[in-house]
Amino acid sequence: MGDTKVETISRLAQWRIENFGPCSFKKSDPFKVGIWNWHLSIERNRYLSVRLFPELSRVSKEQPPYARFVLRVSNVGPNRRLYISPVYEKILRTTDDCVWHVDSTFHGRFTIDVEFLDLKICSLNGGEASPVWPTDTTMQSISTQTTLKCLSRMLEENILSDVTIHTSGGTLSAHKAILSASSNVFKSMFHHDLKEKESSTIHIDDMSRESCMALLSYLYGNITQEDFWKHRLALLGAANKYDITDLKAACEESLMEDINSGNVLERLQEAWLYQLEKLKKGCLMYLFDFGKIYDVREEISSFFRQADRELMLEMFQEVLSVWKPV
Amino acid sequence: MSNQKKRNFQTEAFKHRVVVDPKYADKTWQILERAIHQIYNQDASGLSFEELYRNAYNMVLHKFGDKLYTGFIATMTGHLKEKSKLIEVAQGGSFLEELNKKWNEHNKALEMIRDVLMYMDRTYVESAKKPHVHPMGLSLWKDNVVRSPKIYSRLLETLLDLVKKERTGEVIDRGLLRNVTKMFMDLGNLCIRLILRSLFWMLLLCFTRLSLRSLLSLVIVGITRRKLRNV
Repeated sequence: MGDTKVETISRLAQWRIENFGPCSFKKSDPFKVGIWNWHLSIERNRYLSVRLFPELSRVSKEQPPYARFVLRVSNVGPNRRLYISPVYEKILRTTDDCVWHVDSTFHGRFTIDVEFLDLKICSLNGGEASPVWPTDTTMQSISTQTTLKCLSRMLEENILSDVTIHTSGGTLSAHKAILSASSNVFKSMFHHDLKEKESSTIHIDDMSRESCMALLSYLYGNITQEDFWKHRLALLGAANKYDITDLKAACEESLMEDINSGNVLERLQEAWLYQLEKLKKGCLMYLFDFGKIYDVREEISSFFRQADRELMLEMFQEVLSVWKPV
Repeated sequence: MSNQKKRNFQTEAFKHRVVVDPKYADKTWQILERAIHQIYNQDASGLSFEELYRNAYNMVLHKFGDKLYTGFIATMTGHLKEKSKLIEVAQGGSFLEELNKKWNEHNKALEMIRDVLMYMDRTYVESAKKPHVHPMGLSLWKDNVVRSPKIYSRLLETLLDLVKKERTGEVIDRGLLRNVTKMFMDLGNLCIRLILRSLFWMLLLCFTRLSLRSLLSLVIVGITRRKLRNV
């Protein structure tokens, strides 16, 4: 009996039965759609009962399918009859979860189709079912990856670059469109009829070539953690200057992570300069609440000599707030 | 170790040495002031946006935002006073054209200056709760040009004259009229109300036989303005 095999294509599974023969029950071989192996079975009693159920396995137990599908039965031959089931939408675990009775008998060859309209993995703890076929979000993530690859090639291979950046340590090539889309400062720079627009060059004298390259890598989406770490002070300055808020926040976050007595005064100065409230608070707490000011006694006097008055005032207020006279 | 720490901090102090120069703010402001002059004289193509922006940025970063803000207002006021004199001496029919030309020049310059001072707008202006550069520039134009005594009344008369001319079937420069009307809209409610009220009463007094159509159109203009204001 070679007619237990079910052919599948895309979301359609088709079982061609040559002849029911003398038996009253037939079960198909397993066929795979989505992540499950499925079976169809037919039984002849008063009706023709068609069942669809997943193969008993770990997958179908732990990740039961939530399926929306249609069944069709038709006989082959001159007087073709076609029966179509209603659209089922249910969780399928056992052989009894989906039984469709067709009020007709079939002799000779006939065909059973299952067309899956949607397949989801049912969540056992009551959460939302997750689709097994690509959805908008998976598509989006593929697209994002492709775009990032393209952007990265644009920078590395200078594809159609249209602006030269002169830094204090050499030149770099970039794209006006990318710069303009990332920063309003660059957008204005190429909007007005000033030197940059006409000559397609920018002189960024306050950045080294390496730091500027790190900035470009960030804008083109391929910066490495190592480069970010190495250039984060320069990146912070650039992010503040060119109004790239995400980068500024990332730098502040990173500078918060490794405050120590060797860099706390420098960090405080940076925080003050770029108005980084979180970092400033962190430095002040490190110095006063945690008493680390005694570790930097030497440096603090030179710091006080040149620190801004307002910053000194804030430091003094912090001292007062933690000072608890006995 | 202690030496290492010290060096670290000194490197930072060195990095921001820019503030140590007592004449830093004056020098930087001079560069920017010269640039504003060049922008108003339409001689800006040789200026570097990055350089100007960096100078303005550093001034604000090193707490000279106040100097930059007052400086920009003073320089712009000076230019507008000059422009206002040039408009005043314009003869007859060229008066409105001159006004419109200068208004366009001012708008272009203002847009460029606003962008150069973008960092100041974003930080200093916000924290000091002062008007932003663009509205400030418009209000300076209103105070120094539109409300200048020799211009204001003449402007009303000229507009009125245009309406009168059109009524008698003469061809007028509608484009020019539209631009000047647009200027009032850009300058905001106060100016529109002022001008409209004056125009309305003058029209009523002068033309008792005011055609129903022009009266209606004036009323519609007034209503639209009011609606716009309430949006």
